[in-house]
Amino acid sequence: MNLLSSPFTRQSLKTHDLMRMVILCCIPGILVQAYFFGYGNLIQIALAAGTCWLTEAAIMIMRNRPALRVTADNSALLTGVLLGIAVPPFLPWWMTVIAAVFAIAVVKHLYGGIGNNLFNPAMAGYVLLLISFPVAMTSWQPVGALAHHQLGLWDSLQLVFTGFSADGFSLQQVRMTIDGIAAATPLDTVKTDLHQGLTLDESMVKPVFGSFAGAGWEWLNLAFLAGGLYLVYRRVITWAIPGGMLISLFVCSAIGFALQPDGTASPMLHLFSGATMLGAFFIATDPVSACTTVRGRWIFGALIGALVYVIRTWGGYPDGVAFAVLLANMCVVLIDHYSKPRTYGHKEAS
Amino acid sequence: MIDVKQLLTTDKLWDYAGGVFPEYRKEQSRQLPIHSAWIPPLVHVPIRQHIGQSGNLIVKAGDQVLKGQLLTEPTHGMAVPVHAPTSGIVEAIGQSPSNHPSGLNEVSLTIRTDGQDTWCERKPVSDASSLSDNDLLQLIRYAGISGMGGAGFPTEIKLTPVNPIQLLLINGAECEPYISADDTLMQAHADEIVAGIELMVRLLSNPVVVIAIEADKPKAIEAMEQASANLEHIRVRSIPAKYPSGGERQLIQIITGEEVPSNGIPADLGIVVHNVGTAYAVSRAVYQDEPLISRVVTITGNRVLKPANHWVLLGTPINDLLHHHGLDELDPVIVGGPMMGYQLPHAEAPVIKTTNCLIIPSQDELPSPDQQMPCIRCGACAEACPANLLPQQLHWYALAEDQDKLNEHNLFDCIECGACAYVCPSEIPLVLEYRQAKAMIRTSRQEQLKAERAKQRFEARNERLEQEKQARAEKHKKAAEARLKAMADKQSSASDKSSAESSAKQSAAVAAALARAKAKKASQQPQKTMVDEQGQTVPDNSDIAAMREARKAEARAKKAQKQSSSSSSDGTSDKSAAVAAAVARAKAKRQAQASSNEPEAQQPKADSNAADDKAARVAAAVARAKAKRDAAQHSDAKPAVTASSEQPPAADDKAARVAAAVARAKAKRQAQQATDTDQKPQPTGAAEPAQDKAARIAQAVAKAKAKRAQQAAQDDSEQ
Amino acid sequence: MTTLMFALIALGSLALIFGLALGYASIRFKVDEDPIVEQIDQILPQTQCGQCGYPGCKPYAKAIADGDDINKCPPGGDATIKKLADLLGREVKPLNDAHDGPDIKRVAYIREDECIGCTKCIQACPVDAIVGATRQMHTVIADECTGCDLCVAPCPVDCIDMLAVQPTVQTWQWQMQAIPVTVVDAND
Repeated sequence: MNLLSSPFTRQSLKTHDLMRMVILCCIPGILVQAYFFGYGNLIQIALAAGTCWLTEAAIMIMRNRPALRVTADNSALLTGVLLGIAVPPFLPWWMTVIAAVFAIAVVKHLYGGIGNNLFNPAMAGYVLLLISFPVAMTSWQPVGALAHHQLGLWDSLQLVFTGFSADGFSLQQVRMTIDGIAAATPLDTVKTDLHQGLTLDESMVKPVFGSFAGAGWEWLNLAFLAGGLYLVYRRVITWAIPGGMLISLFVCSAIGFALQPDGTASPMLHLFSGATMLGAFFIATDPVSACTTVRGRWIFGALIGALVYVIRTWGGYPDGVAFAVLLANMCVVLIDHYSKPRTYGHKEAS
Repeated sequence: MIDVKQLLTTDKLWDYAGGVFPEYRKEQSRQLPIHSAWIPPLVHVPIRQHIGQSGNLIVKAGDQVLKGQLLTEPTHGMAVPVHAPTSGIVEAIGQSPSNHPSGLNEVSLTIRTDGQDTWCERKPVSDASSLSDNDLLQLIRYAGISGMGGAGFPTEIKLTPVNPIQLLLINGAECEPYISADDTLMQAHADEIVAGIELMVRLLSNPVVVIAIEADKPKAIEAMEQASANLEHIRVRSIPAKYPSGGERQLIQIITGEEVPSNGIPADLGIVVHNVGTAYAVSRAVYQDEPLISRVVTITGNRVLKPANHWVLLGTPINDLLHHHGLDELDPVIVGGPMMGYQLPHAEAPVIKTTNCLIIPSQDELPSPDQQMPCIRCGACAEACPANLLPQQLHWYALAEDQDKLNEHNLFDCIECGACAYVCPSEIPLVLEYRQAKAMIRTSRQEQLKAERAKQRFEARNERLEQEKQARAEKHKKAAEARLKAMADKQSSASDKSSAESSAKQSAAVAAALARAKAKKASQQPQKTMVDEQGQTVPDNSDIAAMREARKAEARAKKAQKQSSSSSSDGTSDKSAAVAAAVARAKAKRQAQASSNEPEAQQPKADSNAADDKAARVAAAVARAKAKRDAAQHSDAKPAVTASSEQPPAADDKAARVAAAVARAKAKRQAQQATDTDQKPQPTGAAEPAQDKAARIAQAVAKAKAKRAQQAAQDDSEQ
Repeated sequence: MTTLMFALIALGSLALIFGLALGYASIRFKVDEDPIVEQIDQILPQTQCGQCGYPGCKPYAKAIADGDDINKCPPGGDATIKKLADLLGREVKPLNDAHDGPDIKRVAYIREDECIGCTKCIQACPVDAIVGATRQMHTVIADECTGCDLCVAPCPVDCIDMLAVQPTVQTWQWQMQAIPVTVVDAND
């Protein structure tokens, strides 16, 4: 007889369900991304997710664990999907593969596998590429409508795997906008322009900007926001981390904007540009590398928000979500330690 | 302090952190009526069914007992008696499987029922106001009532609190899924429950009463409201259905907003919490004189055809009970609810005072966890924890057995409600880990305490030995001085009494000899250790080491002896020699003790007096021991050497004393009756007790001689 | 030259000040007894069994403080060795005396009808856990017995057994997978 301990009943949401739910909630964002930026990210997502899954399975076999059962928790797939969403659409395939292998093998399994990694694997892989190949990693495609070249699936595949589209254009050529300038992301544009002494209003009239933030990017962020809200609604993630991060980012940028309306990006631009919403709802909420106490999660989120603002405003890179998440990951133990909730019955003598 | 009067009017309820919403599944069983009790052919009544010690058994196997008869007497504070649940004959008192997750055996009475269900004499009280508080408490105590909610704390103790009680909280929350025992009890016996509450109110000097019932029991709420309608100090509160609202501490928080201090009890806040079942039992005990011999048990689960509530006699074996209800396959049976209950290892365990539910689930009803996954630190457990703990951290520390960290994270505030494990997406058995960790910490605390006590005892003993040694030395010194003085007095005053003089001289000489012997022994000791210790660094441990070594050698020799069959004649001679030696040794020792203050002439007499009826047993035992030792020396040369490194000096000393004693005894005896003991052959058997005192002494002397001869031979051979 | 003088004076005065401070501290914050012995003694199981080769736990604690091995305490077992290693910053070593069988807590038990009342075990017991008088039956106070087995050897009639402590419902450690299965007669 195999004796079990109480409780004998359990709620039905298991780890693999949680992971699957997060992946599914990425889909609106992925579709919007594909609409605005072409097939590139779909290819990257497939590439990264496949590589992550295979790496995880290989390591599981090396560690003498049942590969199929353990990889069925979907966590490696999720890492791959997030990595694929995060990288620029036409990144050379081998870079994506390197990042994916690094994320799973080094960041996750060298620390002991699922549940033991200190850092968010997807973001660590992303940052590895960002540091190693900064040009490639900031070479974002112009939004479809602005792009000079419209790329089909075949073109996209060629571009990712050979570096040249079917028509023989290189990545840099493809990135030309209709104006004939190399495209930059809205955040990049703002940063460069402000650096060059332009005011925000002067910068914001450029075609790369849409109605309230970057063209296309604003819709992308809205799509991730929608997916994220659904995750919160289904209690897969809690309010604390995205709430903390968005509020903090808003507060920081609002203060900055109030002090220097011409010299800094507006709160709207911060909230709906770059990887803000993806980061807030899908990346920072990775349970393993985030804080576990409720208060700690607010602090953790707020820290990420503040770091994102700092990096975007004063850092060397146009976006800072990945760095912010990794830096906050480092503080998790400390934050958890100081944010322990007061246990029942341990009231201070009043 | 809480404003209790306000509790009677306010609509405010507080909430506690966390909590979960499991599927309740109570509908199956909550319908009335409560089925009446079935009398099984055998009942097993464990003598301890609560927290605390068992009472003293007052029946024995074979006794005829009547229903409600006291089986154990509550002789001390935390003891709660048990009663015969029906009439019959006590068949056995022994170990039988307990109704406990461990399934370990516990002392139980097995009663073969006669089916008559004959009550013992009862004295129901119709008017409780005629009783004094003390009488009332005694009634409750002797009715064997302990908390019916789960923990089983003696009710009488909770009704005699140290602090004044302002609020009596009656727990009818019953927040666990499946269980509806309290629900139906409230529906069916609301009046009696309220009567029990009134008795409690009286004993607690009129506190305010709040009856808390979860909102999913509308019928019970209605019944209780009706029963208490004209009582102003009682209020029935409907609380939101959330698990674990029925936990004592959570319930207090819901009703009053206060938290019970971590190491405290509700009484510290002026609150006492009792279960509705307990209130009912109190009322039955007083007004019907019916001790706690049955309770309502929910029998439910998908494999039960008609889930319902039943009165069950305490002690009814669970397997019999379920067979009676048409269930054959009894694996698994869950006792209690699915959140905090436990799987019963042995289905023959009895229903006890705290058993409120039996669940016999189908395979897919309460599925066993698929596969435990690593913790992903999702924090769902921390959100669910009603005690605001961090289960995910406790999980790591429990695995690492890090006691300091576990204590730092307040492991002992865990109420083991199971909410954390319920929500865990990785299906980690968190509660089990915490229980194990708690058990580990408790054990190590106990060990620490025990080590501390052992240390104190060791030190106290060392001190005592030191004092005794000094006292002895002092005494010897004084005795010697007194003797010398007496001698001097005698010499100076009465020189003509030559005999007296000689005896005095003799005694002085004896004293001197003893002193010499002692000195010699004392000088031998360090010498010996020095010789022995040449290789070793620390001289202190030689005795212990040698002893241990000797024992090991002995054990080895014993084994060797078992294997090699020694000749029978050798064995008998060994044995008899051993007997002789033992007797002689005993005599010598006693003589040495006596000689310091007793005249020699009395020695043999004292010896013979002392050798009492136990002689035979002593002789036999000593003989065995001696034979063992001799055999060890004979059969194994190597251990004999190590053992002898210690023994010869002692033996020499002893031999000398024995020789002296024997010589004296012989002289005395010869003068008296001149028996030719010397010529007597070896004694026939040591175990045979000699009737004649003289003969026995003679025998002993002979034995001593034989032993000495043998020892001398041995020494020779060894040297 | 003056520079050198200044340097020397500065260094010298610094040395003086620190020397005074250290000297003062050594007097002011003097530790009366070497507390390490106390700390080691705290860790040792206090069975006073002498299996380490010292007459009791305190002497062994002293010996450890003086550099003796930390792996000589069979009753404490690996847990004690680990704690000692932690405290003293030494290597964890396996127990030097690979003694028979696993670490089971044992207590002495006197088979009372065989006891002859010789008091030898009482004298041997380091913690006075045996009661009895000359020629009266002896018995072991199980709660106080440390399981050191020092009483076993002196017994002339071998009536002392070291019995493993049986788990009870109270001392059960929630080892769910190790529940002893007992066969009970169905008619019982």
